[in-house]
Amino acid sequence: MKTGERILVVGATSAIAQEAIRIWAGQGARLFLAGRDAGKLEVVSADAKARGGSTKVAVVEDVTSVTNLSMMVDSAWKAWGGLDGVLVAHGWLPNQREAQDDPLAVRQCLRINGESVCEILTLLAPRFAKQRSGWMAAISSVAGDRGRAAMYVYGAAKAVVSHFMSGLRQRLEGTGVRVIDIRPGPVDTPMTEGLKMPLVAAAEPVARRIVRACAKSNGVVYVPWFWRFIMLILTHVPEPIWVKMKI
Amino acid sequence: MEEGTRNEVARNEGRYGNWGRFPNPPQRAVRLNWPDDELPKGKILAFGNGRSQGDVCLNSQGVLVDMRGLNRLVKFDRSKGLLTAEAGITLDEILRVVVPTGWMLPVVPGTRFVTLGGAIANDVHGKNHHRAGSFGHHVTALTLRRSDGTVKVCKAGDAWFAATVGGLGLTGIIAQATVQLMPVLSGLMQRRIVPLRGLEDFFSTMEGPAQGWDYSVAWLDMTAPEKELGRGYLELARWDEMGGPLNPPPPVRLQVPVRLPFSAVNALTTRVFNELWLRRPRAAYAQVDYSSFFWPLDGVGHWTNLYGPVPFVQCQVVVPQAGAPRLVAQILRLARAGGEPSFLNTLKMMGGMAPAGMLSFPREGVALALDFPYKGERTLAMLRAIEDVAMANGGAIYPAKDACMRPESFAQAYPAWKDFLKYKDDNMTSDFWQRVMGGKA
Repeated sequence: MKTGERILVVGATSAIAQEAIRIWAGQGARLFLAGRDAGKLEVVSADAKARGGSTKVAVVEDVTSVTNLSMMVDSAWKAWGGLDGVLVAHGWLPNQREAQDDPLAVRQCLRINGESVCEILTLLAPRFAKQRSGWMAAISSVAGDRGRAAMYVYGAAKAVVSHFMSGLRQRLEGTGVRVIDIRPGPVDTPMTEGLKMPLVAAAEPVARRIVRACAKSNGVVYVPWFWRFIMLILTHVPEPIWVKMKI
Repeated sequence: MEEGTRNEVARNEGRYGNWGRFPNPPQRAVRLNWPDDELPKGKILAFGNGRSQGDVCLNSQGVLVDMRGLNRLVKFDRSKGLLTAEAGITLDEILRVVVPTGWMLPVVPGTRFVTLGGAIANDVHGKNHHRAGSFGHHVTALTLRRSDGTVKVCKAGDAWFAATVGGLGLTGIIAQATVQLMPVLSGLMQRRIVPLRGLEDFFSTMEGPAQGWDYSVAWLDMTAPEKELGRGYLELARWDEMGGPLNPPPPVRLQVPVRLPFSAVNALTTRVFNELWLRRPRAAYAQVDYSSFFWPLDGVGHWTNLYGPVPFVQCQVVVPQAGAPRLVAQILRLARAGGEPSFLNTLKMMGGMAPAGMLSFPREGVALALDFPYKGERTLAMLRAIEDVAMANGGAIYPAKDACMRPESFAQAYPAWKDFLKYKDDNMTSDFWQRVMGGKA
């Protein structure tokens, strides 16, 4: 009997997603894993199966293509006869110094980290609303809370996601569909390797928090929790002071 | 890999060092995240979870290959108990998956936070060596990535397999391995405690009442006076066959989060510890959870921080059965004369089966493990004296816990080293290997 939760994970080969997949697999979830690299997806899928999960995988060549995304959502919905949840975890961290003077890099960053996430949520929202249950989680970032010189290209794209989810949550209120905006602080993953960052968290506890949030939360979830208070302070620093701060 | 590329993480403090922080030279490392990630150029050495004690996990002249990102399962056949996993997975991570399904690793060392690759490369053993042999005896296959880009799949019985088990990570990067698990009905064990008034008690109990128990180890109190040398208790255990809970190992709840500015381990605290821990009354017979039996120290994370700024060294030595009572006593006296009393001391009767690897440490005899705060020359002189006793009597020192054995001692205790050179990867080395080979290979 296959009764595990049916979850679509977009960006399944990202470090945080892999850790979340392991936890879900151990709970017997039925997973639909989407990513760019077929070989890596197979590795992640084998791990999930060995832990007791069921998996199907789909290669999404280009996450900025609505056609690709629409096909992905269709096959994920069909794969297990509907979905209980989705975790959107793909992302690309451009080098801020290089990206800030390159409009194509800015566009690419906004498309991958911002637009594509909104598009996936847009494709799924009516389906979840119709079944009157389910959850949609996306990994945004504390970097989206306020623009910093060191990370505003990436941060802007993440702010798009947070803003979008805030509205979507309000729209879906009362339908039984939860919209979870996960805002991690810096996490030790291949994406952030070599960067100097404060208060770095490990991927595994972050994923544990995410899995818990997906099971019951609705709203904004900071991971680890203390970022809520750090960001509360930082977002209230008056702009004239903020511009002079070197953080 | 070129200097300063994005993938390079150079951190000495913390991540890339050994468990005792002696020696502690700066290390450079590159992380692998996927099985097909390119290996760095130059002299390389796989680094797992940094639980070995001396310099087998260090590579000061080259680059460490951090394997912890390769911690995925590849396949788990629940009907046969065959598990294939990437080498950077820890035994803890394996147990979390397999124990609830009724399977157990047939050999576990004193900490479950070693990686699969490290367990194979050091051919670790546990409290059931006399029954089950070492970790390598239960590995059925492994995949080696050689620095020239070739991949070797080795099966138990192959020469390449024998060279890699206990091969100190020098035959190639162990990419993945398959382990034959053992079935367990529950996570509960029957434990028997036999108080030891001295060394004689250990040997007489091992020859008599201890027979028939699958797991055995003695904990010795080094603060005991001369006439009670070898005082402590013997712990015997076997799996309970009545059925019961199959819990994964507990999460680490207690942490020693920061390194103390002073060492909390000294003659006084060792004495207090011994009184509270080693001499606390224990039920002669009890039913215990496997985690508390196998890993009493794993309950506290980073407990080595208690040593503060003082590094510590371990010494594990095996001496032949014949003459063992005399040799063990001699070594215990040397350890005691060395000044600081050794904190955690175990004595174990090893089994007689043929070693799993060419350079495997576990062998027939009696194994004694000691650890000391490192106090410079004095500590080294004591370790030398222990080494001399072992070498003069056909013993061996465990590379995974060694920071100072001499090249001649290695050559004598591991005579297969010449044959091993045929399998060693030319682009792999470690500080240990440089030391015992004296730059020869």
